[in-house]
Amino acid sequence: MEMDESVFVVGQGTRDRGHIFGSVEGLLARFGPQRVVEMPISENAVAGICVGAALSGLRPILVLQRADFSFLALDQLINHASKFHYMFGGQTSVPLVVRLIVGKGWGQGPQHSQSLHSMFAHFPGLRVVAPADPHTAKGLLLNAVFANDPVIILEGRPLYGTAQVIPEEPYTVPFGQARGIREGTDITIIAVSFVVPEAIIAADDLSRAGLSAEVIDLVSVNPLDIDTIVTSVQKTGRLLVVDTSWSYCGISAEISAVVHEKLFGELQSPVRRLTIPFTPTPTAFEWEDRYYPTHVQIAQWAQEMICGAELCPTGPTS
Amino acid sequence: MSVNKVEILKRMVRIRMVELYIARRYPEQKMRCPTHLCLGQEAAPAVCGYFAGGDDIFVGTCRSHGHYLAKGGNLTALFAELLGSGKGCSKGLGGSMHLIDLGVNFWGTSAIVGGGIPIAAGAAFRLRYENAPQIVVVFLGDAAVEEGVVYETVNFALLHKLPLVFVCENNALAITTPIELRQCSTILHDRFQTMGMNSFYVAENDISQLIEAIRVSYARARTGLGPTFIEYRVSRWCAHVGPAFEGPVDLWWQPPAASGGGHGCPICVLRDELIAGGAIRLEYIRSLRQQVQQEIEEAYRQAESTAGPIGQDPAAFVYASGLACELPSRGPVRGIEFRHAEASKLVNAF
Ligand SMILES: Cc1ncc(C[n+]2csc(CCOP(=O)(O)OP(=O)(O)O)c2C)c(N)n1
Repeated sequence: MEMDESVFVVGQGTRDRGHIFGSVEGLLARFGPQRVVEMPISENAVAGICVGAALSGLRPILVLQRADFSFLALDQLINHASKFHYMFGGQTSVPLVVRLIVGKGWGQGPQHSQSLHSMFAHFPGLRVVAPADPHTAKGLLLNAVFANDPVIILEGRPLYGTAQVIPEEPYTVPFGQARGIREGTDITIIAVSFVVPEAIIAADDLSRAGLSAEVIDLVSVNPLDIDTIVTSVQKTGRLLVVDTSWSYCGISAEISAVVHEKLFGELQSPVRRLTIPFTPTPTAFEWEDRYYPTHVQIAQWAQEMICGAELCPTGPTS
Repeated sequence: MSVNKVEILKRMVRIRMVELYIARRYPEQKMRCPTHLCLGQEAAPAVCGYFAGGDDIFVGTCRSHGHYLAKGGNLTALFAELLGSGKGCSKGLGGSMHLIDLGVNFWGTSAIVGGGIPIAAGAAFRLRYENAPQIVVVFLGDAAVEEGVVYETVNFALLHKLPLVFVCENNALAITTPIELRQCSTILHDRFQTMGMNSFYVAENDISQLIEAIRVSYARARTGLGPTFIEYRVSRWCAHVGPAFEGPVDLWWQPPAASGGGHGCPICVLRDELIAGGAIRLEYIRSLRQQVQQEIEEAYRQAESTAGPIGQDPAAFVYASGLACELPSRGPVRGIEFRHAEASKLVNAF
């Protein structure tokens, strides 16, 4: 916002003590009410107003406290924002950033915890990213603000507690780049958003068992970093995709398809997908606990893929 | 301020004749896109266009040939667009339902009922943001008033006192469904008054009142008094989509006796007023008709000669920027001026 006067933030709770989980804290005092806009609970109109403002040369950042609320804005995001550049032959552009916070835990339940990156990734004209670490989150946010296309950023609420030393000065991280976290030789584990930390722990567990897992944070859901994925799976011969969204028609299916298309003869086992079950999010905490992929499951699935089921007495059950 | 009604008549005639021309050529199947004509609905665009400055912004609907032309949109580029040509106003990628001419600040249309409304408010928000003197005019049909986004946008526009004028052309039809089957009240404007909206109701063909409503609404928006909602009752003299038309749309240039008083034709109504007041004579109308016909035929010929899609790469216009974006060096706010420059290049390409 300091770098460009055309950047403004609009969201619900900009004046609230929580400051949208701290993400807009201090902005009102610094930039004033004109650039830190409190929104009516009118997601579709506000999304459209952001589209119109973006067409005018402003660079809106729209924040929705829960990704689930974006369904009310889909007409503007999908029918309008993602298509204006195309349907007017490249004459207009919509430099819009939409930050969607994905809830998890404490009984957020069916309507406050949906991971919608797969759905948004379906539509040409949008960029869709889901950073899992502070360094990437900052770089991608800046890249998104100064891109001339609509960008959807999925922010896993559980990741807000992640601490990391990052540069104070502005920098960008380009779209379309997965983040290699750990090198390995036996299996590639690709994880998305708040299951990335689980994948890292799983890789630690596996290494204690003498198995070497390569861990990749997908980061960019549209476009996919196919090169990084294919290069890794070519090396390891196995791929486990771990996702916070449903496997059915989800990004894990897309990744699996791409890998099978490119590396069919080179795979040592079929691609497997460990995701949330195909139900809405349960609220009861015993069920909720079991809903999300854990490092234990990831390690078990990986071990089974590497060693074969017979060597894994505690193999996966799903 | 004196109003040049002859100029308004000219604009109405031009819109009528362009639409009739499209209707006549449409069966040739060279214009291959859903085309919603505005026959019978020429008055609101003409008056809105007459009072608008070049920097004011229009946003339209899927039935916006009239709005586009009234704002000064390039006629050849309109025809070329309908013909799917790369020289069309949307480079052939939009068709009749997605028109744009940034050079005259016609900012585009949406084929989603109500879709353009918040976008227009966003453009008005930006004008507020920079205390610019322009206004935004957004067109909608009566069916759009059934969409929630209208109420959301009206609320926001009032809250932020946006320089926005809602022009609702109420033809009482959604495709073929009459308004009585769709709305709790067939009068639309007054419901917004309870939200604090200034509004006008203009009866069919009351062009003097239409002029007044639009003049006042623009002035209010320009002076920081916020948005206004105008409901103008009209008759659609054509099928919802496609070239079929009903009503005596082509009698306006004939003597009043032959046109039987015009059968409620808005052009006849204004023409008769101007003839009765001595401002014009029938010969003027006839020469105007000839002149506009020539312009249209020439424009269509030119548009046809540009046939062929834009380039070979259908993916070329999906994204505006690449994967890696540059941080700005500190600079002025990017704005309309910047877009003007880009747009005029395009228009000048003809
Ligand atoms: C959201 C949405 N629903 C339905 C349609 C199909 N549709 C196209 S035009 C139309 C009627 C629009 O009526 P109105 O807004 O009064 O405008 P008019 O056609 O009279 O100009 C409908 C229902 C649509 N385009 N968008």
